[in-house]
Amino acid sequence: MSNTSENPNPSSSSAKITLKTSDNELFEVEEAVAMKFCTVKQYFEDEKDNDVAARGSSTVIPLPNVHSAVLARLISYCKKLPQSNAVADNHEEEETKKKERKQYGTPGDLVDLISAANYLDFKEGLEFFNQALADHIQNKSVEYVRKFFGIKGDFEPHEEEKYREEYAWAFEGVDED
Amino acid sequence: MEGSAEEELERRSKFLSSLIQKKKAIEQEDQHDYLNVRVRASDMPLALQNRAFRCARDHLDSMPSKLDSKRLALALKKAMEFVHVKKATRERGCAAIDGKREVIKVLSFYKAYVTPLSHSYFEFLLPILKPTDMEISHVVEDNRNEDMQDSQTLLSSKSCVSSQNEYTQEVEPGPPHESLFLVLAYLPLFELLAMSEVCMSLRDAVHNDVLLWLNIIVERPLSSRLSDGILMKITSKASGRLKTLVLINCEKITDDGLQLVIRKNPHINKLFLPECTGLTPEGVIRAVKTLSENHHGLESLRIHGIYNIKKDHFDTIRSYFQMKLPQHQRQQPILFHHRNSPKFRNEESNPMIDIDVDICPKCNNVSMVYDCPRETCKKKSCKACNLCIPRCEECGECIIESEELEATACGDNLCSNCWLQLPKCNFCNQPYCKLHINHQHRLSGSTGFVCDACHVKFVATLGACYC
Repeated sequence: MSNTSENPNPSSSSAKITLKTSDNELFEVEEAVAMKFCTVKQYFEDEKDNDVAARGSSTVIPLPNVHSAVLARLISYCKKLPQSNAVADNHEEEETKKKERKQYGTPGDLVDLISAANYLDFKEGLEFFNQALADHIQNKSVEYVRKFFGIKGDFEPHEEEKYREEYAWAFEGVDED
Repeated sequence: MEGSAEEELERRSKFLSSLIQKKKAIEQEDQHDYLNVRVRASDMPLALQNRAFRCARDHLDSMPSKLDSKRLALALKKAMEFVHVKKATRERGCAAIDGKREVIKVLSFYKAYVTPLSHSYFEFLLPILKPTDMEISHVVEDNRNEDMQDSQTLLSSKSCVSSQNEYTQEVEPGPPHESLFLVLAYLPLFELLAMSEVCMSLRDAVHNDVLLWLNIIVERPLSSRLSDGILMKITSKASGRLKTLVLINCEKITDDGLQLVIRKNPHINKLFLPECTGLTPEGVIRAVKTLSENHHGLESLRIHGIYNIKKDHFDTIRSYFQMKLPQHQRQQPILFHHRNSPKFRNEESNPMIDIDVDICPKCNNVSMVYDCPRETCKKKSCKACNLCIPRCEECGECIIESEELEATACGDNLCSNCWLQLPKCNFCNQPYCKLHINHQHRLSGSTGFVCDACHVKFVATLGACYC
């Protein structure tokens, strides 16, 4: 089963690179996009060094840590990157960026996107997704974070109390949602 | 009688099996001692684990002084593939070798790939397992007195385990997802404190990472609760390497508290203390003096909203800066309507603005002096403080005397152009400026809004009548 990602100009001369995800789907992406992922880039260059002309661009690069759904989103983010890359100069642009981040996805998605972006060493994406997730965590209580991200509080009760006390000054009037 | 005999039998068999398990564990321990390996977390069968460790150890010993992580990973992969090549699934097992503190990361099933996590240790993920012989064993050794590196190793190995079941994680509480460690660097102070109370591994990550504490920004609502003692505690986490200290409206901070922090952290290059009303001009001068004597590192200072800053205070502060920058020039204009934007308030702002306040050319007092964005004003100077020349809250342009100040619901100034464009209260036809836009009351069933005053006057009393 193969799923080739849609391509605006199929006859373009730019080389294609095929990526294979953890669930065995194949993605054909333009070289320019794939080179944003430093891990892929590294692999690609290594491959080139190893056997120069034998296989060329037809090699399939396996990405066993990335699920196809996540990779699809990363690629689409990568494609629209140049437009949103302009340096935000003033307040208004910062606001629109924030809105964009908010609409990008649920924290559940973002967590996967971040680990994939980290694995792929995709700097711009990592920054964007991390910031988006940080926006989600803003002004949330400890219990909220635990519940939301499925984390087990593994403190001893007396320890927990101690830390609570240490930071009690900070936790007044938190969103309890 | 029969029942008790059965019970006795069961008890004995339990005892026996526990004995066997203990023996196994001890053997395992010996094995680890022999290989000089410590297991942090593993879900591989023991036999497989031992094979991996032995293989890794042999290679490590045979390697010349410098660790070639890639070679090691390749060798490991070869050895493991040999065992399980036929039925190996693409599931990843995870084990950590802590012999020479290397933890090696094999990222791909097809081609071993090693990433050093830092210069001294690596992480490895091994492809393994027929599902049938997979008895999941969790050997997590928790050593309380571990140094920072140890805890990081623990973190990294824990996070590998968690990444394995990332899709089931939403249901059952478990260790945190690895992404949450990455996001820490992007969190402001309050969220950082909250995260540190979520679980042990996150707490260790927050407390041990100096990088998270180099830029400390205290904003509302934390700022009003921040006392000298708490500030000292927070800044001590940076272990003297604090670079940015932003305290916005922290009214409880005193001169002495500030001075203590400054003395402990001589590398501060951004010191923002706007509206910290507990400070005095003398305290600020002392802080700036200490910093300039030590390293001359201070690049920008924000002190507007501190009371009683006189002209000679300002000159003293300026003189400390001038030692560093001989030609004083303010290239970036300060615009009135940008003064509350996060960029100006926080660390992002332009380094060209070294001190935010200046001496107003009109009234000669020390305060924020704004430039005018209006084209025609650029030639003739209308640089002045807000009291001398009123400015529009929306566009920052000066409001010329001939022009009438428009009435707003919040009492701030607006120029005629901006006034016309803004949405207005349904009752009194007055707009809110952007600072007070959240004071609008939306009524169901009608577009637009009602301002605070009209809401109290009309809507609330009307509501009371209906009740």
